[in-house]
Amino acid sequence: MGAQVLTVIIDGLLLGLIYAGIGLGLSLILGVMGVVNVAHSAFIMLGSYFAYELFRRAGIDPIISAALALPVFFLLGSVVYRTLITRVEFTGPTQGLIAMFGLMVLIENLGVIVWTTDARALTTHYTNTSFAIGPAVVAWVKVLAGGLALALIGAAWVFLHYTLTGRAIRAIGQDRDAAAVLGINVHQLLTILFGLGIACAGVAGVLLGMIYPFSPGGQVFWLAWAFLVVVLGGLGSVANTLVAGLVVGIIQTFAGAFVPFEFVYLILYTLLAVILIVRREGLTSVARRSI
Amino acid sequence: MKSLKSAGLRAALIAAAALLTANAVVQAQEKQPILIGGTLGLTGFLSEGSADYKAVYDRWNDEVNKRGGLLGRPVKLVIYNDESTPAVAQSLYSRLLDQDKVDLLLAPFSTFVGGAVLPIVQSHNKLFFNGGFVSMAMFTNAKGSMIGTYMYQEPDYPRGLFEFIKSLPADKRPKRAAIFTYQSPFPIVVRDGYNGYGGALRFVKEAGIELVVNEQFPANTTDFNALVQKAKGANADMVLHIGQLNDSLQVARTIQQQDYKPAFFCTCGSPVTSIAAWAKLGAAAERAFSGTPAWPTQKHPGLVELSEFFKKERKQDTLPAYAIVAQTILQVIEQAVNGAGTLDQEKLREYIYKSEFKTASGNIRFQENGTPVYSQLLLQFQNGKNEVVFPAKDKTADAILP
Repeated sequence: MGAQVLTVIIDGLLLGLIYAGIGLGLSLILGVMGVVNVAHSAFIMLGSYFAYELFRRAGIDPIISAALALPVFFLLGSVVYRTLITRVEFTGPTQGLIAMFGLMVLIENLGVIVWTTDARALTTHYTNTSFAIGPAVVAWVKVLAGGLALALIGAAWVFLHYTLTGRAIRAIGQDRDAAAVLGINVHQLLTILFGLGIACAGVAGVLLGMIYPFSPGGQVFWLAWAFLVVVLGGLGSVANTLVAGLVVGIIQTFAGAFVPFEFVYLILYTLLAVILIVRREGLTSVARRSI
Repeated sequence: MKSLKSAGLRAALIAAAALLTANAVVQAQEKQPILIGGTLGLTGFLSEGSADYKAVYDRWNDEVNKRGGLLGRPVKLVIYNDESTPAVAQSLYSRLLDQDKVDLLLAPFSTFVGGAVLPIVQSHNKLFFNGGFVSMAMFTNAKGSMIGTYMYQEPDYPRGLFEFIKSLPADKRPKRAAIFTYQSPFPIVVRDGYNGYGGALRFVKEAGIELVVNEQFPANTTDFNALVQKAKGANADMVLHIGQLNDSLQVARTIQQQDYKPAFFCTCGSPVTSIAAWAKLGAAAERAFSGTPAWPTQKHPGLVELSEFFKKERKQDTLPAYAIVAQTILQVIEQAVNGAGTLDQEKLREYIYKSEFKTASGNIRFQENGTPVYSQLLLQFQNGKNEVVFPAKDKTADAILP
């Protein structure tokens, strides 16, 4: 029993870090800009393929790919912001949602064309290895992915709290008009923020690709996890996203270990429903929270 | 007299012209392509298996036309994308039957989609050529109008493994079993059996193995660590995973990462070890068992060529089991239409039930419910490739057991 509890706690924490990594980009974009980026999981999928291609073609380790994904996906996000988001940013929420949904379908279908529908698995020298902590067995790949997720979350927090650009972005999140009046270049900073959100999605994709097999069609499953973390943690808050990810991870592993497995997702989605009911707010009220 | 002759000549000319025209119309009709329609989940969660089906269909379409088509007419396959969604498939089958007016119908891939379209096909009194899914219940309900080429139905999926276990000395047999089942109609029947017949639970009980874990997981499960922990914690030396491709990949990898070494690990649902992604798992893929209807080493008609096609054109070293079943249904269609000499559904049905077909799955005959007589090979993934380990007459290697 003790061994099982220890295993569940360790696995829950590592899983939670990864979930927080998945939710981070979505939380930032939704919290500051109010854009419901349902294409978030499509960028996660691209991140997995980014790592896959670098590993397959050049033998680059996914840990390196995670670092390389940051600038590449930041650039990609900035381009998407300039070409698509600026056109739907001030339209009704439905139009923006449809545009992002269209982008998700487009990316998934491009993924099918380029990589086919076949599932891929990234197998490095450490993928199938593990180590023991007392009686618990821990997979190396989850420790590495969890550590990278924590580093990503930490970097995002430092950026938003200790840099001028980050503080300005937080100011936009609190009151966009007031920030503009104070001379903040909102358009430029939102480009940076969206790029940052997509960069987080890209890195999360690399981390997921390290652990789980992936295919273009499987990306939507991760969108549900990202929303679960974001709704639980509060939109736009880096620290809360981390806590929410850990809570979701721990609940999932404890439920998986001690109740019939088929009820695990029921428990998690009941939790989501309860949070939405208790807080009495939907995704549209995100801007009310500060980052 | 002259006018009479002239009138007769005119009448003869008109009759000749009419005959020529009629002949031309008949010839034109005869040269109209035979339409064979169906759907596949070319996008969505069934897209990987569907892509294998599509490759086999396209290859056969080219080849059958090179052989002169069917009944002297070219063959055209009309395959729509059902997006792995039953509702979409239903509307597409209505279109195939009512607008395209296809001559022959192919079933979609997977029980999940197939079950939704069967009533539509039955309402049109069409034969349903099913290389796409298994379902004892649906074959029973179809009353012989569905012709299937899966060599075994859901309750028999784990049968090959348990027949193999029965052949082992007592000290080599597993003692404690864990079963993980995907929450979907097909895997549930693989686990529970059908009308008191077959099913993993029954096979486990009959083999005198203690069932220590019996869990099912939903389609959106992304992490299987807790499930694997349960089996490991219960000291199960046999894990039967009854699911689809992606979940099977994850369970295999999680078992390896947990340093858990069950003596028997079987992917007893979809035959996933013959799919390209399996080999990419590395060490986690090793020693997994899986069933298959046939294997290229058996050298059944068209099987070696199909295997070469997959290697050359699809860059797949292993021939997927789905491809074998797809090839088999097309061979049945070709032999049935040529043998019966007609597209009439009743005459085709009559011919199919009294004939033997030489196919990639072997020489097969159909039982009165439309399924072929049971036949299965047991594969084990060894040193990066699948080996046939049971039955003895077909085996290419001995099973590796601890």
